[in-house]
Amino acid sequence: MNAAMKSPLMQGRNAKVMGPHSIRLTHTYSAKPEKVFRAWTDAASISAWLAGGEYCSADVRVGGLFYIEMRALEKINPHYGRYLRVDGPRALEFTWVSEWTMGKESVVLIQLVERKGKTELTLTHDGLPNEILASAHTEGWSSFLEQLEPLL
Amino acid sequence: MSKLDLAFAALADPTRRRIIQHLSRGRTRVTDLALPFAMSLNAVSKHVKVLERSGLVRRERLGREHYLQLHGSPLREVVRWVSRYERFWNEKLDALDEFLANQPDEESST
Repeated sequence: MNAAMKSPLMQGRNAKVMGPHSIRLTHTYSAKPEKVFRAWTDAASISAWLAGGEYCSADVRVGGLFYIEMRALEKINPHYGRYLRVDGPRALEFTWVSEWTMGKESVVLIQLVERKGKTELTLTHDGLPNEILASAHTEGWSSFLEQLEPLL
Repeated sequence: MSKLDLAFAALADPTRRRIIQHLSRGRTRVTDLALPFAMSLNAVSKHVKVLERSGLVRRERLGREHYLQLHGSPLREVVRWVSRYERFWNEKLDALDEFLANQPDEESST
């Protein structure tokens, strides 16, 4: 184990740099949790369904890193992260860093529960920065947006 | 660029924000915008074009007059920016559905 792995910054969530916003989604798959979990932890599979066929590398173990060249919104968006929890086939937790998180580490938790041969997946994405209002604030136009909101 | 990026870029300019504020009071002729902003029609037109491209503002022709109207939905998305990640993950979770359907059902060993 190298020195970086022992550094407190490299273990668990780095709550200090996380943004305040969360989203949660659920989706039911007609496959077993093992199969769903494999799709989240095998680099070739991740590339196929998540990265739109682009490059992906994934060292799936706690502290291991992944890198995905995500094809989304009509361009390539590099995404990075490290695995916080690898508990197949129940849970997978990793940090998630990209341009959209303004370079900050957000955290994605995937939870899988088997129900009658199907898999209920819950995705929780924590620590998202308030991207738009943050930039708006820097540029001094957040009050403008707040003013307009009732009109929308 | 996505619609949201375009809207965001359009809003980054103070003159364009003032134009939007002006339009929030109601439909306005392009020629009537130049006056309060003390700008040439040409300069105003340039800003209006950026706003139109972003989808924030729509142009209507009534006879010889061009009217501008605020269009709320891209702005709503800017305000509710979180929808970007919701949309992203929803799209990806659907893609996973399709991927799993095309994978053989070997009894797992991983």
